[in-house]
Amino acid sequence: MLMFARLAGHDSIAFGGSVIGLLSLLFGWLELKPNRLAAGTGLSMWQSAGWLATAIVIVLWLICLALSLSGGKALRAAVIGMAANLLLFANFAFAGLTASGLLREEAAFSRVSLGAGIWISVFAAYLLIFSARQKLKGSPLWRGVVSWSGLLAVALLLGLGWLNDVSVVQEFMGNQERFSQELVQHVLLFGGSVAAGSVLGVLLGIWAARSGIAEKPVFFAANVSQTLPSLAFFGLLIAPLSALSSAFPALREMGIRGIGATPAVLALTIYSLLPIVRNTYLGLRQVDPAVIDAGLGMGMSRGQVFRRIELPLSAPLVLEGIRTAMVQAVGNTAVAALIGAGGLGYFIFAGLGQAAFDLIMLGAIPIIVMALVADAAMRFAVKAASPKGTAVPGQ
Amino acid sequence: MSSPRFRRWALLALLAAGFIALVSAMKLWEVSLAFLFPQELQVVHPRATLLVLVWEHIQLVAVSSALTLLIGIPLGIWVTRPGGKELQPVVASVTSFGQTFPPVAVLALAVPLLGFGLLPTVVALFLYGLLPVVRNTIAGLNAVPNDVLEAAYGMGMSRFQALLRVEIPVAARAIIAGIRVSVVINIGTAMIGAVIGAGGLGSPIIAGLVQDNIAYIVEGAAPAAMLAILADQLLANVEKEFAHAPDIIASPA
Repeated sequence: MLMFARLAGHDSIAFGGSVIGLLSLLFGWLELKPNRLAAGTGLSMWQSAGWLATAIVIVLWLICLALSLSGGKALRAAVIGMAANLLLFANFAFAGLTASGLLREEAAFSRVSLGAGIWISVFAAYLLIFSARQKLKGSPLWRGVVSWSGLLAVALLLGLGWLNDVSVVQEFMGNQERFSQELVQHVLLFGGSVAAGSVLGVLLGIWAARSGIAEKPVFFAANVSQTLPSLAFFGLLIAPLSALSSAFPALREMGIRGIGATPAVLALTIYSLLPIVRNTYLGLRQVDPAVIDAGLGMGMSRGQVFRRIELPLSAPLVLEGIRTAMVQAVGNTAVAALIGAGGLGYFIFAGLGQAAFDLIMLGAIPIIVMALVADAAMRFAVKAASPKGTAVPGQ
Repeated sequence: MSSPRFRRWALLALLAAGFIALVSAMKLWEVSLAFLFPQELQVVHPRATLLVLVWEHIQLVAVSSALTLLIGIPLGIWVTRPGGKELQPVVASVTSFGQTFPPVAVLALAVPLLGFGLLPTVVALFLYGLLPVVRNTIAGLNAVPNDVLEAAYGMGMSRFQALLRVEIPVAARAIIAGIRVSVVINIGTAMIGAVIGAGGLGSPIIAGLVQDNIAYIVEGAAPAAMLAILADQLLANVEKEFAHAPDIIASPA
């Protein structure tokens, strides 16, 4: 490993990614299962997709490997990045085609799922994309293309039905209505909670920054609630909420019950408070008092100083807090499926209950993608809110 | 012995003793849960006593956290040394990227690879726990001021001595902050481990949800909340022991 790192010279990330990518070919690339629940047999890429496809993939990895050894110009980074995206696309495209071919020859209930090899090459491709992104800081357009083109191409494959014979997609087809319902529910749960948490958190953060009395109790409460395990937090809300709901029929009619969305939204909102309160507080505290004085000296009122100076200057940090809260909420919402709140966690826990691995994937993969998308979108927002020439928080 | 420090540890010891006494008193739980939830025929989960469940939970978290420390801290140290410095960007990006993955999803994906039970839970907790530890170890060591290092070398210390006697003590607070984040997340994720048969305090909650028994849920949730707060406070106290070090605190996600 040490030797590899030395060899790698300027671009150890891309080098490591290419090596991992090549090694991924040694693992099972697809898995053929006699039915939805049975264990499968692993097939390597050349056994299942044939030599031509394997050769194309190997050549692409080798190109990346060679470029990674030749140093770090922006153009080379762009080529590595595009090759990685192409690899991402090629792996899924070949997998889709191969799965269809395999299923034609097999018995009716057979399934073809993606093997460890594909997931490892996805990881390797993203290492390459990371390294390329780092070197493309100067050109946002290329950076965007390198970051997203492969993902979009795979999404396109999905949309065009090329991956319809891959088991996770088959699982999706079987649960299509349920999937869109739980997807919407997941977004509503975490989006609503983070929205509520943002309003409440910013207000609490302002209060904590302004009032000496509020500072300690606000942070204590936010810290303690953040520490609670999500399942325990949901559980602790069930008993009081169901007592409330049975005591007051009006509440029950409003849909407030011990299990379901009510405890989920309540807990998720409280969870999102700490990062937002902390960052609002830090954001307001870091504003240079001289700037505030300047504003007051120009004849601004206290309210104007707050709106036109303090708020814009602390916005990047506040948004960074919302980013943390949001990524966390996407994951905690998955747990909320256990208390009957729905969301994509439903598929994870239903899959775990039936030992149906494809069903687990049907929940877990979109949740991960959702967390990544929320993270990227919020990072973009943080950047957009940061004044030019200042450090961007969290990056 | 400074007085606030003594008070911190004394309070923690008291809370810990209270917690152990509370989870040992099964009779107390039975009586109070039966009082709170008269509608439930059975109020404590028959599989195991609370003390056993707490012990299972602590073991699960302790084993995976120990693995995390054994691998994570040396990894963080290695990528800040000249020999491994080239890999620092990879390790740093993978850890920050990995932290975006929801822990539940990591646990769920461990099942198709490793089956059900203890093993996938420990592996998922270990992997997820690595991220804040590695990240904070790197951040802590990178934050050691250069002139401090120069002074150490100037005094005739070898690289290894400087690491052991200067860098690690200065970075200790950041490293412990990372361990704290890691352990707290792991206590929470270990709760979900009950779904895949890893036992622990999640099991009465899951049983309660399945059988629609609120008493079981409270029986699991209340001690779990206390355990998490205790562990967090314990590590907060350890962190404060290194309060002289620079203030680099991990954000939880």
